[in-house]
This record gives sequence, C-alpha cells and structure tokens, in this order.
Amino acid sequence: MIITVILVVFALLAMGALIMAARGRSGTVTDVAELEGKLRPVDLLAFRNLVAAEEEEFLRSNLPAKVFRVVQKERIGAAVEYVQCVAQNASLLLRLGEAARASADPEIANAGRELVESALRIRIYALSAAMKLRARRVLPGLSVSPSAVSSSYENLTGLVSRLGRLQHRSEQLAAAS
Amino acid sequence: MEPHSLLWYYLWIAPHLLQIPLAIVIFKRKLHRDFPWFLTYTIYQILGNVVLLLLNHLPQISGKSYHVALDVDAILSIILRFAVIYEIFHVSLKPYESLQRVSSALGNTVLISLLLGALGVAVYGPVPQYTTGLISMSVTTYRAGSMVQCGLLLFLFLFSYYFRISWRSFVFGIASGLAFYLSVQLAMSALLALSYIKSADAIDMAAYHCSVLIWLGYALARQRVPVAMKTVPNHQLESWNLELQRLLER
Repeated sequence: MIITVILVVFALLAMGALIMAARGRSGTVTDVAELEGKLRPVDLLAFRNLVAAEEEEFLRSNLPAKVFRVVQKERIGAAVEYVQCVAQNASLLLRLGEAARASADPEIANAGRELVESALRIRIYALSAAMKLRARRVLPGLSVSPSAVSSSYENLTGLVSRLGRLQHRSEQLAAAS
Repeated sequence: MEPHSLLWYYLWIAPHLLQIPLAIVIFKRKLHRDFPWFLTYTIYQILGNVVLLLLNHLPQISGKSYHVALDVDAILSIILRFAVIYEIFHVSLKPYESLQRVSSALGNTVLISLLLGALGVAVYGPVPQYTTGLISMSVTTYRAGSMVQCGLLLFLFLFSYYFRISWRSFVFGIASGLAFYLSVQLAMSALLALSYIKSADAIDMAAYHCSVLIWLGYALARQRVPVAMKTVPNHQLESWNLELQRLLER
C-alpha cells in the first residue's frame, strides 16, 4: 500500500513539474526591455566580507562564543541571500544572452553565447555555494570558498558590459549607414 | 475476443490514426533530423497497434497469445521511449555546453537510482492477485518502465527549471506529451497492482490520446524563433561595472 501511495505521489509530482515547466515556458522574456528593473543589484564586497575567513576569525576572537554563533548564523543567512540574488540575476542575464545569441551581428551573437555559458556556470556555482553555506550554518566548522561564485560573477558582469558596448557600436553603425 | 464499447474502440484507434499525420508533419518539417527516435516511436506505435488490433480480432489467436503480444509490445514501447527521452535530453541541452557535463553526471546518478528503485518496487511492491501471471507481468513491467521514465522526465523538467533553459517548441511538446502519458500510466499501474479498476484501460488510452494531440499540436505549431536583442539595460550594467571597479581597486 505504501509503495502504491509513493508511486501515485511520484506521478503527481511529475505532472506538477510538467505544469511548472509549461508555466515557466510561457513566462519566457520576449522583449529584452522587460529585463530592466528586474535585475537586482548585488554588493560583491559585502558578500566577500560575509564569507571571508579573516572576518570570521576576527569575530570569533572578539565576541563571546554564544554571541559569535548567533552573529555567524545571521552572516551565513545573509550570504545565502546574496548567492540567491546572484543566481536570480544570472537567470535573467541568461535570457539576455539568448536574445543576443540570435543577433545577426556575429560579435553580438558570440558575446551572447559567452554570456549564456557564464550565466549557467554561475547557476551551477550558486547551487553548490548555497548548499555549502547552508551546511555551514548547521556545521559551523565547515570551510567554504566563495571565490568560485564571486570570480565567475565578475566574469559575467564583464561579459554583459562587453555585450552592451557591442550593441551600442552596432546601433551607431546602423545609424551611420 | 471480448466485446468492447464504441468509446473503447475510438480511444484505441483514434490516437494511432492521428499519429499518421503526426509522422507526415515530422517528416515534412524535417523534424526527424533532430528527432529520429521519436519518428521511429511514432511509426512503431502505428504499425504495432495495427498488428495488435488484428490479433485482437483473429479467432485463431488465443487470449494467452494475445497477452504475450501485448507484453512484447510493452517492452518494445518502453525501449523506444527510453530512446526518445535520451533524444529529448540531447536536443534540449545541446545549446548549453557548460551544462552537458553536469547534466550527464546528474542524469546518470538519477537513472541508476531510478533503476534501483524500480527493481525494489518490482521485488517488494504489490503484485495483482486478481488476474493471470501474464497480465500481472504487464502491470509490473508498465509500472517499472513508467517509474524510471517518469523520473527521468521529472529530473529534466526540474533541471531545466533551475537553469532556466529555453525549450524549443517541439522538444517541449514531445517531453510534455510523454510526461503526461507516463505519469497517468504510472499512477494507473500502481493502483492496478492493488486492485482491479474497470476503466483502467480507457483512462490509459485517453491519456495516450491527449499525448498524441499534444505532440500533433506542437508539431504543427510554428517553431519559436528567439527574439533578437534590441536593447540592453545599460544603466544597470554601469552600476555593476562601477561596483566591480571599486572591488578590483581595493
């Protein structure tokens, strides 16, 4: 009986995932202008401070153990929010990259491809970073390296500016011709 | 041969008749280049069901022989559906190089877990006590097959949802049609293992009918062309760049 219930629930989950995928698909961004205002600013420095080992050591040596544990939990919670925000931005930039990939201008298309790849890498890193941070919240002794997320994020923002410059140049060329 | 209602015949024949235009549309729109296994599955379903329909009506074919044919058809359909699912994975992840390694590593883990799970369900799960060994085997085969395949599609939907992968129209159509049918089949085969459900066949066939309609609809629909970029949210990017510059200077 239990196995049957599990299988029926599993089937319902698959149906739910299908509906979720269909809804997600209909919510696809069709106009890049839609992205404006949706991107949330991310303070990389604040993020690095939150996960810096030196900062953690400083707090550990200057705060009573009980207070440190509370503060550290809050710091990690904030870091997780930052990672989620970065991942959310990456998913929006992925759409931007896909739109750029369809451009007739090979340079814009190429920049779009790179943007897509970087955005996906960020989503991969963000997933593992969020998991590690959550694990660290439970097991405070665990070490976490945020470098993969932050350096990849720098790379991503660099690509977006390159895309912006290419787009601007393309518009200038179109206006001149 | 047992007498069946008109609705039963409709539900058996209509989806396979609809698969004829589906195969033609796939071929005409050259979709078979990306989906050769789906076309093979479609053609197999048409031909296989013509044979099954004939066997069902031939007086010299015994009930036992007919059920052997049904089991063979079930196994062949399951194998072809695995090929179609592989094709869905391949086509939907092809444009994303950086995801291919992650998806294959995760996909293999999910597949192994599902196969072990299906084996566990086959060994320890309920077996229909109200019928013959052959029908009981069909139910167990369908349950195991649809469990693994449903799980793979569930994984693909969740994976795509997390990474915000853009699905091309037809591949989404194939995946959603198949997921719909397999989830109904999984639920029905799980319930059938417990007790006899009179309308189980009709529900299964109706689900398949819906899936064929989904496939046909997506095959006929115009393929989505990505909207080429026209504007970039510059102001946002500038503030990010400033933040990065500040970060690099420190």
